[in-house]
Amino acid sequence: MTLQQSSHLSEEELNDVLIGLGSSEAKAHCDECESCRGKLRAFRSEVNAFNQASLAWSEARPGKSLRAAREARVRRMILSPAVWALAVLLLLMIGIPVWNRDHRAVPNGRTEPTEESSVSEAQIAEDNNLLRSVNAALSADEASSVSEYRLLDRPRSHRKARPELRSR
Amino acid sequence: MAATVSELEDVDALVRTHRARLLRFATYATGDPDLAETIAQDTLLRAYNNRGSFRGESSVKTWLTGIAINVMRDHVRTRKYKFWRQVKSSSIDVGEVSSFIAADGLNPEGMLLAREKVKHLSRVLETLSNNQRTIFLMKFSEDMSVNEISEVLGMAVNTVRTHLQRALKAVRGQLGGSQ
Repeated sequence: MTLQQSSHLSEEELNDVLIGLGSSEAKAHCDECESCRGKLRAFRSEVNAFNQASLAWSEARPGKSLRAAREARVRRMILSPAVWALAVLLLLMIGIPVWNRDHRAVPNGRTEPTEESSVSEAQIAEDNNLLRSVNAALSADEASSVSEYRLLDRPRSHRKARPELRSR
Repeated sequence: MAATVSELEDVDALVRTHRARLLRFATYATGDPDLAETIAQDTLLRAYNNRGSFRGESSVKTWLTGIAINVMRDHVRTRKYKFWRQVKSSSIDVGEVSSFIAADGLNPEGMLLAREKVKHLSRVLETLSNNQRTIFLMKFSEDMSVNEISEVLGMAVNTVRTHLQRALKAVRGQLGGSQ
C-alpha cells in the first residue's frame, strides 16, 4: 500500500508504529505528516507523564531491607500449611513402619520379641556351648542300648564261661 | 558483561537500581501496591539468590522483569487458595501518583494537564485485561521489545502483537476522548 500525503495512517498502522513494528512506508509517512506525527506525540506524551510520575511515586515508597524480606520469607515458609503437611507425612512414613516392627502381632495375640530384647550374638554362642556341654554330659551318663544289653561284652563272657562250665 | 555481573553481586546496588522500577511494574500489573511491594522484594531476593543462573543473554532489567512475572504468577496461584482473603488488600491512589509529576519547566496549567494525563492513563490501564495491561507496561514503561516480551512471557510474537494492538486501541481510544 502506498501512503500519500493526503491519506493518513489508519489507527492500526499508527499502533504498529508505536509498537515498533511499523512498515518503512508508515514511518516515512509519519516523518512527513504532521497530523499522524501529532497523534503519536500525544500518546507518547501521556505515557511519558505516566512513567515519570509513577516511577517517582515508586521511589518515594519506603522499602524493607532484603534481609528483613528474607527473614519474613523463612517465617512464611515455617508457618506454611504445606510444610506442616510434609512434616506430618514424613512422621507417618517413618513412624508407621517403626510401630509395626515393634508391635507386630502374632496369631495367638502375643507380640514377638523385639530386637532390643533379644540376646546378643555372643550370648547365643555361649548358650549354645552350654547346651552342647549339657548334651554331652547327659549322653555320657545315659547308657546306650549297646552297653545296656552288653552286646559287645557277651561273646567274651560267653567264651569265659565255657571253661567254667568245663571245670564243673 | 562484567558490569552486569558485579551489579548482581552487590545486593544494595541491585535494590537501588531496580527496586522502584520493579515496584511500579508490579503495582500497575496487579493493581495492588501492597502486594507489589512483596513482589518487588521477592523478585530482588530471587534474582540475588539465583544470580549464578544469569547468562547475560538479555539485560539485567529484562531478566528481572521475567522473574517478576514468575513471582506474580506464583502469588496469583497461591491466592487462588486463600479464598477467605480479599481479592485486593490495597488499591492504587491515582491522585497520589499523579502528584509526583515533576514540575520541571511546567507552568501551573501545564502541571495540571500533566497530572490529568497521569490520572487518565492510570484509570484506562485498570480497564484492560491482565495480559493487555502487563504487555502494555512491558512495552511502554519497561521499554522492552516485542521479541523480549514474547520470550519472557513464553508467548508467540504475533500474540504479543495482538495484545498490544488491543491495548493500544483501548488506551488511544479513551485518551482520544480526553484530548
